[in-house]
Amino acid sequence: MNKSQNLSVKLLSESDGKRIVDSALKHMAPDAFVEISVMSFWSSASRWARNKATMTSDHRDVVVSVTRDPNLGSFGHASTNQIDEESIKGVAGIADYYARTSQQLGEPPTGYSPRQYALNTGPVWSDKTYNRNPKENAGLVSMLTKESVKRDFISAGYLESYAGSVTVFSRDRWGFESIRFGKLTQAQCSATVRTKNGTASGWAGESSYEIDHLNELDIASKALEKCKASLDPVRIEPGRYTTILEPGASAPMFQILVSSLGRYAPENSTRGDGGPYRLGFDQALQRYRSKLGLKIVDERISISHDPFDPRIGTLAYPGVEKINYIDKGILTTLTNDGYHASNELVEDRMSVLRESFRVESGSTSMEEMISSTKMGLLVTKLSSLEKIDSSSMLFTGLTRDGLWLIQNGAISKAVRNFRFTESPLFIFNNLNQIGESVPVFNPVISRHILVRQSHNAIASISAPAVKINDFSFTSTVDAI
Amino acid sequence: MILSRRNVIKSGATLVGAGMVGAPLTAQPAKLDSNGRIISTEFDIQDAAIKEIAQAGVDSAISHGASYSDARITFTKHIYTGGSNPNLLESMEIGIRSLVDGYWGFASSPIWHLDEAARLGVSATDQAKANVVDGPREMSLSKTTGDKNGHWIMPVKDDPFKTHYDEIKDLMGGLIEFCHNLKYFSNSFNGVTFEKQYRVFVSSEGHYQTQIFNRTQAVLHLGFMHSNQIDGGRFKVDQYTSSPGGIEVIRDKPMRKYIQEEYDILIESWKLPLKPIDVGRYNTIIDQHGMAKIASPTIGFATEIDRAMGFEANASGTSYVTDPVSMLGTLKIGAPNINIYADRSYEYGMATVGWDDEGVKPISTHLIKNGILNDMQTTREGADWIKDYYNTAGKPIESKGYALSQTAMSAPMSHTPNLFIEPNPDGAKNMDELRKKLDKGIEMKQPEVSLDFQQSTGFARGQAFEIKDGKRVARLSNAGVIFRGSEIWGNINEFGGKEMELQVDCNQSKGEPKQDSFHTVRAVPAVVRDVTFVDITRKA
Repeated sequence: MNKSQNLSVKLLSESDGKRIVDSALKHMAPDAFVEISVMSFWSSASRWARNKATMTSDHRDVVVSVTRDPNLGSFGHASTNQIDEESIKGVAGIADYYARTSQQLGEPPTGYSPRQYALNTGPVWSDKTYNRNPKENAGLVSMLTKESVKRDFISAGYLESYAGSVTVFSRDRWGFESIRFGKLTQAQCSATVRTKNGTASGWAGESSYEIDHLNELDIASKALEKCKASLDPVRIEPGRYTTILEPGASAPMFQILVSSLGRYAPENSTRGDGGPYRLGFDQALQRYRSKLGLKIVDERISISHDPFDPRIGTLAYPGVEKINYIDKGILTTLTNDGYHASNELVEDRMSVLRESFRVESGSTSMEEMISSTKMGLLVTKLSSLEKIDSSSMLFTGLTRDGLWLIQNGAISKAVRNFRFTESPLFIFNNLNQIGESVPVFNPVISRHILVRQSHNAIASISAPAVKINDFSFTSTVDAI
Repeated sequence: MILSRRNVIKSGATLVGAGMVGAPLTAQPAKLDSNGRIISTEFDIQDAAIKEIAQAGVDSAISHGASYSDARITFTKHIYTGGSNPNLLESMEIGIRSLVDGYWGFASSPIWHLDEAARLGVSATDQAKANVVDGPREMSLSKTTGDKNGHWIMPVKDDPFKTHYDEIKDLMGGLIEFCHNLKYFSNSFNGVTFEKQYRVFVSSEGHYQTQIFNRTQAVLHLGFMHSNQIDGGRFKVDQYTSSPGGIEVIRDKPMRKYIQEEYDILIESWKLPLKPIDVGRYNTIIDQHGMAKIASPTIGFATEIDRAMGFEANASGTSYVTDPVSMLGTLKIGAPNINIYADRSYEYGMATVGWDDEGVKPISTHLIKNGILNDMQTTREGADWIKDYYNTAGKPIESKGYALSQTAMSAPMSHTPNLFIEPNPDGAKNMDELRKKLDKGIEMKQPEVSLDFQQSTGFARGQAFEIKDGKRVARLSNAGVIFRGSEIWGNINEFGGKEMELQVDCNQSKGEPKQDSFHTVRAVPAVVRDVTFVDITRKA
């Protein structure tokens, strides 16, 4: 029995991970595809509301996950958060059992290509983030709310230090084995400041692997300033406006663009309309073709994923190598899930990891965007996004926590929130200007739950502010 | 050396004082027999050793300076299957919450061990102490109702965790096979998650409660292709729904009959002409599914006390109930014929509990009384926030049992409970009767609904049919509804009768990091005046 089984550790080390992998392998037959991942997580978080800390917390968790596919095509999967011998033996046996009894998805694949393994060696690791003391957070919360108290506003927010590690073992059908280890840190802070009567609201947030890169006081100050600037919002007519989306607002639109980048749907005739990246039916090949190689958005837009990029940062995982999704507006990569990859003899790029990405910077500052706008809107954040049509990627959603009218190169007044109906394909082909890409606060993943169902523990996004021509706002909403 | 589970705890208990450690308690992980079948494992959540661990966490917190502390221990098992590749997830959690000078601290981990519990108690208390930067603050926890000690089980007839997977696979596969044989079948999504969760709650006020939850989350969507290869429509099988229980939730219902009935209705509707929606206001029948999906956020989320007080302002949003104390008893939510209740003791509800996550026996709450906001969903801390109203109204200041943590890994917060829309005692007994109430209008079926971040303005879209003289006369394409909750509830002409009640499962995400929860809404359809329809694909 090692010490870590008795008292939890913040993170499992590489040797811990290897020991658990070895333990699992002892209970499995040395046949085809096996994947074992050992993930551990730690977070220290402070929440506050109504200008007071509401909860400060420390969480630690582990996920040992085993995927078996001895028959090639009928997967079995089991996971536990226990690392004792019996539990490991249990998940290994159950994964094997499920694999043997599950239905074959189709014809056995013709072959697996060896997965590509990335080794995260630490560019997204910060000792300062990892060693963050909860007392420091608590003291900071008091400072972050002080100005709101003084000016009779109410502040709510979230401050988190997070660290994760992963050890992944994989064996493909040819017996090729690989084991890799990676770890990362992430720090996030956001604040929402509202008036006491709920008539105005402002938000700001930042994210970085390095907690020292966060300027929490600046975040609190921006949220307060935005709230003050949002007082007495006027109702203006819905319509098409030149619109500046701050990074917090552009990120979800880029996310829609990226999250649909799967290859299976556009190239497979049985999947409905094939989604936004289907080009059409190729009579010569007798199959559907995707838009790979074609220009789909403005040439100033390039989107990539790189696990070594500290500006986004993600846990190293099989298949997470650097990928350029969109290069100067041209669609360069559609990702394959494991089954599709094996059938097509193409590389498995782990489609589940698409949600972390970086949009390349442009050169326009926010001030330039505003000063060059004769009539338009400035949007802080989007909320409640909902898909209307998958083939055109049409979405509806709401603006939130700060919306202003720009007239003659300056912000003139606060505006009541709008519902919009737009497609990222449309707006990113109507790009007017693009700013510097920055990490976006994005605490959307319930890590303690979702990691047990998916490999994707973190969705980190680096996105720029963008100015869009003719953004479509369809109705006003009451919510503030 | 691997010690037996029982001995482990005992040795751990006796060795802690000497600064020694035993192995942690494990929850008897799943095993296979020699035939490769999962061995049915019994797990005793009432084992005194588990209580001992929880108590160690609480004691540690109190001895470290907490004025109040509670401990949760959970063991959660899920089998997820889409009919082909199954997935078993098991996890154990322990979380300790501490209160110091009016501030909360929380610590959690996956290790059930006396030493670990003691560490978590200290850590949670340190977290709380760290928050007392600007001095103590007033906080009053309302008294808990019901027994402080007890054991409660959510009934299950056929436990999926004791059943061979082939049986589950055959059950689900058989249904899909049936659907495949329907002439115009094109695709399906058949997802089922079986959940078993064991919970222990111990507090420094003497609570010791154990509970076992058995829930099945089930969804079956079917899509059909018109003969001319045009998408012919899809529907969710209403009766294939989430509910307490096990395999019987699906197996004991005549699903094939339900599917055939819905299929026949769909095929019949193909004979109707397809028309684009003519934007405007219409008297509208919203089915049970739609009313449930509207009630869940506009009533359920909106009356959560923490949301109304701004505690979710930086996360999932606030509420149109911006000042509960002055709005309770006066805020008109809708027409006088509207009564909506919340209840976590309802036998067939996804949010049903024996006690909530603060040890409170749930109390049925009349949230909307004759169209007026009548009460909020309270927790032990939250009840005190609206004590002025309760004092004025002569009502007790109490939690009604709405605290929930998804697992012991997270701290509890208020989550929406089971909701009940009171049917019209003289209402229509079926859809045909309800349609006859409309000379001209629209019927909306199974809409998806999303609300803004104050639960006031919403958007809905689903299948829509033009109604004339009490009959469906056309299908309407691209029909969507933009609404204010107050308009929907204020313009209800009438609800359907009790015979039309349907149980609809709804979910919620809130908090930072997010916690998910499920609740059941028992709903009846309604005839609503002047509903605003738009073309959802039309841009400005």
